Amino acid sequence: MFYIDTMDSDLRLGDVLEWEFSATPYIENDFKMNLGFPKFSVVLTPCCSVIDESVPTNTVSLTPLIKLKNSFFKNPYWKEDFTRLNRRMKPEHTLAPEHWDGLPPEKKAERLAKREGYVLNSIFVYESNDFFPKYTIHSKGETNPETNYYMINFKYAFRIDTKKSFESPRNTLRKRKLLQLSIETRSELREKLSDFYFRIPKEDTCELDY
Amino acid sequence: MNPEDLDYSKIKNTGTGSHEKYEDYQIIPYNFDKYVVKVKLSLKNEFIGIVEIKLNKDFLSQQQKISASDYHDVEEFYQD
Repeated sequence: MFYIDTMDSDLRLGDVLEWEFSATPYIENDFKMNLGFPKFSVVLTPCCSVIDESVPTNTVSLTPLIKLKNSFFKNPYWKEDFTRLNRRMKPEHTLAPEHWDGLPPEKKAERLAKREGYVLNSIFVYESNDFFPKYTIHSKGETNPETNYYMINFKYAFRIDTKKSFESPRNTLRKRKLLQLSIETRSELREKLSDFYFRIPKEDTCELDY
Repeated sequence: MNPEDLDYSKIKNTGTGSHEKYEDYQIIPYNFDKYVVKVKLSLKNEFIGIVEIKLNKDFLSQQQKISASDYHDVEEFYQD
């Protein structure tokens, strides 16, 4: 079960909100503000940190719910269930057959030597749901399938500040809560999110390995 | 038979031909946060003192090492 049937009203990690606005500072030559209009956004603040009584302003991190990439549909293992991207997988499941078969033997052996691991570490897929509108996937030489699986990218997080406490029933974001993850799914999100931040750069590993 | 007689280290230490003089203390490494504290104990496990404190060179758990090393880099194959 990806979502729970009867959700509570508190904001929790992974909740889907009907929040349709994001703003991202952007630097080209000048400083700009890019405005985004996603239909849905997802809570990225851990449940225990949503309510913080020690500060006057209430803050929550969100990230927009975005469409899957067309190229994901090349991988039949992923296509069967895109939420497999949320869990560790065997090396042979990480690539589409056309790419796997085309790997030089030494590259394939290198990949096969690894255990089950994550792919696309900043991505977490949201299971299809009646609330999510369908969209068309554009693939060369095939019929263009439709899907209503979506995903989030941890790197696209932005924040919302609000005067009204998230404990208040009149808090705007709280009122826009649409879907709540099951405990198992939220645990998967937490694990992948932790893994995303836990990666240690090789140069740091050298320094730490006395 | 006294259970201590079955202790391999004791049997080894008192084996035939052994003339070495053995210490009357033991040093036990104790992991504390990211440090290893070497504690000196009597043979009856009574605390005598701390001998050495050093950085633990292996403070990543096995699970953490696996988690860090088994990421499958596939981004180049999924560009739209």
